[in-house]
Amino acid sequence: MNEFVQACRKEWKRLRVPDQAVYEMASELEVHLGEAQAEGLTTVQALGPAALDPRSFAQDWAEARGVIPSGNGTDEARTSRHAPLRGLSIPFTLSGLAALVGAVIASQRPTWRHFLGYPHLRFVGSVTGQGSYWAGPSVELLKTGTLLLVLGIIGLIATSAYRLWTRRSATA
Amino acid sequence: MAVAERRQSELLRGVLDLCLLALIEAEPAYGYEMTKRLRERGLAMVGEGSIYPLLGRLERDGLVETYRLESSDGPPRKYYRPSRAGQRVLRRGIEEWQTARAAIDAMLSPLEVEVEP
Repeated sequence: MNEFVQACRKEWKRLRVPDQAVYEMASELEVHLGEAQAEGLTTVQALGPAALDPRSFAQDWAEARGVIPSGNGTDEARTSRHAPLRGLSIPFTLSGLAALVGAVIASQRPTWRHFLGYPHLRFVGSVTGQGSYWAGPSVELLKTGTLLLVLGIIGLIATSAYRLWTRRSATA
Repeated sequence: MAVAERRQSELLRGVLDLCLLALIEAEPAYGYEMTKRLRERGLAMVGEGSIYPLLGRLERDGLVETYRLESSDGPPRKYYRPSRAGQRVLRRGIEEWQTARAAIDAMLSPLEVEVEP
């Protein structure tokens, strides 16, 4: 199935358009794009500017047909189109924080401190029984820090990749 | 987009529903067929995707009737033809267009504009 049709179908599902109407509109669009393609036209040539924004196209059509309330297409729905991106800000921020905290803890490894140029400076650690000696982080804490750093970086990469993919599929 | 092209597009947008009703009054058609017929008549300046929301509105307002015909090369095609109400709207729309065109002709046709090079 054409990517544009898929994007429209996804939007109709999100808008809770009844299945029968989704099937009818998707079939109609498929016929249109199939015949256009057979004549050597691209999706943009076949649909004009509408091809650049499948979500708006799908929503306008569903509203015009009366299968969703027309108010759906205004502010609420238009902002909710970006809801996946907005929702992503929480995992993105958490990943960033995890990476930051992990980096601070992991940087307390003696080898890293030497490498970074501050061998005596310690941000995290524990006070010994004497109450006066700064012992530095335990091995477990260093492992936890490294783990947090790795997970945070993976989270940042994953959320960024998802953002990019969502934007691309929205304009495909 | 050039000024002339944009004006043409806006003019067509205002009467596209009438043009579609006129097309399917002559012969029932499915969406892509309509865009082809519009193109053949030199009316391709409007984004072709925009006919679907318009057809959806015509259907919702009961101005067109639809039926499906199986196709040998793909999904069934949805054909449109004007309903009785659609025919009435078309007839009235043609009168409105002719009145508007006569008024605009009366204003623009007598003018001879000389533009200095």
